[in-house]
Amino acid sequence: MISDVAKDTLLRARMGDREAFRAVLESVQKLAFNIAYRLTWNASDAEDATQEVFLRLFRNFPQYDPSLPFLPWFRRLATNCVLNWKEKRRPTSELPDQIAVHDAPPPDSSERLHQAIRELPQEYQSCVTLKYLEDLGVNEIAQTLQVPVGTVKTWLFRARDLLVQKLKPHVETLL
Amino acid sequence: MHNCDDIREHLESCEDCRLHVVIEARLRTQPVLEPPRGLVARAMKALPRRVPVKREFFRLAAAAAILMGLTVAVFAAKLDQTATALSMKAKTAEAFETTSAVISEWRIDPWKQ
Repeated sequence: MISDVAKDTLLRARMGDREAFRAVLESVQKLAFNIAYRLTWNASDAEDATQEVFLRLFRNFPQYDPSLPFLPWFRRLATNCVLNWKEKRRPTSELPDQIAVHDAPPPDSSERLHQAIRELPQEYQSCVTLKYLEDLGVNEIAQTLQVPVGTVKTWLFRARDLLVQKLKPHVETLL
Repeated sequence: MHNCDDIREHLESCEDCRLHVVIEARLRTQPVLEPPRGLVARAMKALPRRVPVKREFFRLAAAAAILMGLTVAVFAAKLDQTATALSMKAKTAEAFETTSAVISEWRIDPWKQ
């Protein structure tokens, strides 16, 4: 999903070089947008959240330690930033979704899955996103979310279990 | 340990496990979306302008040089010896002494009205 960012580009971007920063954004935009989309399940919200991620990257770039790999650091920053963004705008953003759910025609299997994921607790959603979008192992997810490995295993197990429970009544559309 | 046939046989009879497998497969095959066009350009426009460290250093250095030049010029032209400067000096010293006295008195007896 992401092309490698050259070390010297990262260093120049870290020092405030705007062209280098633009190159970094070009490399990570797909990852950032997909993380945002899978935590918001709305293209417009995902775009806004991605802009917020880029702004946070710009502000926090001096804190990045160039001796460490860039991607895990960026993944952590992006995930936390999107979660904070969601938290801040929760009161206004959830109302239209609830109305839409009642008014919409019966959802297809993908929509049912998205809806079921959206209804999971936030930490389960983050785990599911990192595991299935980025194909990360539990160790990397633990590093990204800064929680113990055992916690990640529990969250993933419970998330899958909850999804099965939520989707069981609609099993025919999924199979 | 199960072999593939055992697993297949179990899945045919167990709806829960079948659903687990289907959900796992669905999660793994979620499409990866392309970001909207112009996302990076819009983000770049929204970034705050940052003054480069180098330019900031030169600005501070220039300000310090001008200040030092003015100080030297004041002493070289003996502007500090003019009547106005001397009277200001005297007044400043007087104000300083008065303030020091008030502070000392307050430190000795802070509750005095």
